[in-house]
Amino acid sequence: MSEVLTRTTGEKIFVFVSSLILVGFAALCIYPLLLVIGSSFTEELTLLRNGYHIIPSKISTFAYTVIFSGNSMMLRAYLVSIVVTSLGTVGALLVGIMMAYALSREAFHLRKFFNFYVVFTLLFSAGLVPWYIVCITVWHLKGTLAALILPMMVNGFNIMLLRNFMRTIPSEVIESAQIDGASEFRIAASIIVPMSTPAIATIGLFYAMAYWNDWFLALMYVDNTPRLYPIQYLLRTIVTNAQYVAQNSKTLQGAMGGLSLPAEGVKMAACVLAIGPLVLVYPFVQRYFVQGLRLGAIKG
Amino acid sequence: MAEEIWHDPLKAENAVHSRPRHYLRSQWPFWVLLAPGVLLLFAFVYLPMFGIVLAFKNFHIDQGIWGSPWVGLENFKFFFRSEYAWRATRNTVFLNALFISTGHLFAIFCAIALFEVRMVWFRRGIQTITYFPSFLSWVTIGVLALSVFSPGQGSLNSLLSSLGFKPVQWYSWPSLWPGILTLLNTWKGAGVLIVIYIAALTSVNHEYYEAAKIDGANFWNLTRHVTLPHLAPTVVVLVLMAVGNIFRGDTQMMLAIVDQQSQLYPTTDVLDFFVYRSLTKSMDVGMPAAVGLYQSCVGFVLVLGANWFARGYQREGALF
Amino acid sequence: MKKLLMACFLVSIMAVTILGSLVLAEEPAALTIILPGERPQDMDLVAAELEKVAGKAIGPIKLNFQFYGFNDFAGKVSLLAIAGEQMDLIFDPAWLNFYQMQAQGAFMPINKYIKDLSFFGKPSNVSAEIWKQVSVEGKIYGLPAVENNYVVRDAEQLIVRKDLIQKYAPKGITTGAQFLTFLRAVRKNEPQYILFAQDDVNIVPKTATYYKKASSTLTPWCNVGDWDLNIMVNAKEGGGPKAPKIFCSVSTKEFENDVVATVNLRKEGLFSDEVIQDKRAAFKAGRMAFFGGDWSDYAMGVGPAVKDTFGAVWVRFELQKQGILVRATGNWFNVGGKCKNPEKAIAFVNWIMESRDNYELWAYGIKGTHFRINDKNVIEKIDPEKRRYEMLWWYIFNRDHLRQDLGNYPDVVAYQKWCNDSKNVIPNPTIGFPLNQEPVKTQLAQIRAVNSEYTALMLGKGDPKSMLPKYRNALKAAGIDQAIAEFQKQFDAWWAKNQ
Repeated sequence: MSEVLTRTTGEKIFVFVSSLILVGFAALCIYPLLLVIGSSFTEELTLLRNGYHIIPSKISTFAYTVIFSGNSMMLRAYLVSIVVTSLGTVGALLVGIMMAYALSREAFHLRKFFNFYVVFTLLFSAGLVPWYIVCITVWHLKGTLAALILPMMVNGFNIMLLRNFMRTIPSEVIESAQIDGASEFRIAASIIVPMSTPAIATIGLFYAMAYWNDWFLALMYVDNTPRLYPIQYLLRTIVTNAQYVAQNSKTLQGAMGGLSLPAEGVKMAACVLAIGPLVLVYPFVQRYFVQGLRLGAIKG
Repeated sequence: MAEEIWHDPLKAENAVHSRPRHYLRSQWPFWVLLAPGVLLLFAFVYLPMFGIVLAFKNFHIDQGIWGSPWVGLENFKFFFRSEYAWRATRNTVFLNALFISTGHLFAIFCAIALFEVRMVWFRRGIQTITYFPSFLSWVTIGVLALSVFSPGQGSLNSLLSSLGFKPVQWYSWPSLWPGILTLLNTWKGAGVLIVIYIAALTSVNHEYYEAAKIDGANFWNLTRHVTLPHLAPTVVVLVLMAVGNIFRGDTQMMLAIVDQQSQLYPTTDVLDFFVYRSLTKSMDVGMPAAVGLYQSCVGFVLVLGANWFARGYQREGALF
Repeated sequence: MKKLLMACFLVSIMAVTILGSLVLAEEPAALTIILPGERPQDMDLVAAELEKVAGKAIGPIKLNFQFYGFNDFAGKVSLLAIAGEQMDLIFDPAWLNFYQMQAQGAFMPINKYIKDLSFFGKPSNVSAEIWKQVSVEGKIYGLPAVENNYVVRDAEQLIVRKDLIQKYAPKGITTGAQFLTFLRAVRKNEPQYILFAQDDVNIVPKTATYYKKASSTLTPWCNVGDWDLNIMVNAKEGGGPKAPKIFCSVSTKEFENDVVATVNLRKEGLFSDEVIQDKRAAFKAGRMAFFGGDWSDYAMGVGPAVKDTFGAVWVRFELQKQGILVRATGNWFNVGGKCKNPEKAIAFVNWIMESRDNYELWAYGIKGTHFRINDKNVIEKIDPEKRRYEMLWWYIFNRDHLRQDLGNYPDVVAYQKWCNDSKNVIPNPTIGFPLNQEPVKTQLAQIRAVNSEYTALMLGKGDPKSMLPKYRNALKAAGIDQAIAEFQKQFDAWWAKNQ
């Protein structure tokens, strides 16, 4: 639109002001991250006295030393998060693709029923209390790795997205495959899946992000199993109870000698470590998210 | 393996129900494909629905779900007579309304503004940067919020002090928090909406603009009469979908940001958060189950309604 | 056909993976013991030894210790109970909602198992008063610690770092005002020490003393029912023909003073935003300037542990002329309502109480590895840096087995002597009162909800002028008056019978 017209003054002002606002907003998006990074490298007493700042007036890496010394809880939490995210995403995609394919096929006679079956789960849920009690007493999920993976594995919304995408694949493709004698599995695997890669990539990323960021499942089910804490839940534990880091910390065993826990610094450092991987991964995956949203947006 | 013969499905004699063996043979792959997903959904969504009886029982630990005595609507009466019913409902709806309106208005504004910018690198850059917060979990955002709003060490109070003002006890004033929460929610969600709206804007046909300009329209007219109406379908669908969920609070958000700060509950306690606390802190089972049921039922009606409207407006946008 | 087989195979693999990971069994059936605090580093070592030694006496046994932070303990235990988790022995201190949990079936009555026990079965070992404390309507639920009755409240008691006292209160602290001065000095000069933690609801209500106004601690009030109901009775009114009046502490002037004083403390920046789950551990690690401890922390726990570093001082101020004997016993172990092996669980606790060696294995670890008895007949830790077993000795104990060499602590000896003199101590009039909460169950649940809502007030957050009236109205709406009336009715009846 802007290429065709030359701008009026009013327009120019609008563009100028709104650009300022946009830049301001973008700065606001980065500012807290810088704040936390800077604070994590600040010496504890300075933090207590002067507060959080982007540029540390007194630099110290003690908070990081404490987190990494002796106990491997941060590394273990990364491991848990990685395992949960990969197993979860792979599982979710497998199950999701199979479901979406079956639901997208006109030839499936029970299609309407199962569509309803899936969609209904998006409309009505039993609520936290029945869900929690059933998962604990019937499925014995407490303290298991499965508790972090299975409850989130099937998301009706994502399945419907995938199904809608698959429905746009022209039926001639499927029919010609059927004429060639392919079974439903063959069609799904060698025809539909390759043609749906944009949607699958997007859904995969949605699931991956959901798994990586989830800590509610950890809160409800593995609260008393520290070896299964994912990174977000570990962060929360550290923030609400900085003392937690002191357990088994070799650096702090000399605590009597005057080394006290740098509580504030530790909170900031833990936060940095939790965000870090996302920052690293972001440039690579952002493209796919945007692409996926565009797909979704245009198709309504 | 018997040879595969192609049966033309349009021919009446090949209608599947008239050939039971053929029905099984043609349909079973679908059942197999669906099985894992159906089982998982059953295990984690449908089976818990049986637990809804807890809302009507007085749960005794040693008697379990089935052995505990029935108390009819006691738990509901308990909830609705307390002040929490109104408060939690009001907070849920009000906060969600704030989130939806602020989020979408801001995103639309940003999308239109960005769309006007000539330099592609600016547009790309802003989009990339503003999209990042949506990657973060609420726990992380809670820590970031703490770094800004903490009364002792927060950067906002540091700024106020250096400007000569007195530091504010941000976490002591419940009336501030709908605003702060809206700010945080918009901060996290705007990026996603901006991308969607820009995509919608790009898909608008140039010819409309050109035709309007030939008729002498300036920027404001164009925005009002071309841009916005074309955005409307997307906006309506998205907003309706969000409104359908207006009765669902975000437990993760509240737990990460408000958590134990009970002085903030009057304005931030949403239904989900209330249920969570009743279960884990008050050791009450029947009442939060009842509240959950109440929430699910009202939410159900709302989602159906929103969907029906969305469908009427734009067929493909709706969920079903 | 082949495809059918392959498909079935695939589906069954998936089913097996799903089911298999669900069924991921952990340990085989064991005695699960639920305790608060931090898990001692050498817990597994000592647990294995306990299994070996106790196993010889009471049959093969497996022990599974689970630790939860002090602050979360009550909530987590409740949640575990609701979720039907295996809980065999549950530690029950004064601050657990014993009555509420019992009413919901969390605990198992154990009357029939007691009679034949070597320790608990003998009436001379456990007084009738103590049994009453752990019973509801004649059903015994707890295996109590048997202690000297030093659960006396006579002053504001704190354990404070010696180095800080020497620096900022060299003349000692005898009044609340002096303590406030001390706090301000520490905050100014050494901001790294935590003074009041985020959740110090136990210490904090007493803060009005620091501002020289009547506060709720120094009143002779005792809880009726669970502590979190804030329903009290005045011990000084006991001893007469009529039962003391029951009231809610929130409606009193003392409570108001507490709240206002706490807000002031918070405004001065004396509160930390942290939740300290285990204050003793945090104090030992050097993070806290003080914590709410008593003589046993001073003489037998934290005090000796930090003797050679920064030292601990037992600070008592606002001394009262008479102390209140709050409870017959402080702690006990409940048996979980769904415990599958109650005899074993009870036999285990009985085993601990039976002999000094057993108790010391439980409380101090393996003799020769974790501790030794020195020539003064006192427990001495061996190599506390490497071999860490900090089980709290007061979870369960028998007073006869405690090696208390209080020679170094003449103040504690004097204190104990003072407590033993009946003219100095007023007993809690509700000791032995079998409260039945069932008739007002709904009101109590609502009252609890309101109370948990307003803990912020008691931590100095929010505005007392507007919140306190709201709090009081909310309690009224929740039915506090009916609850009190019901309690009073039962109390009066019991009082009349027992006079």
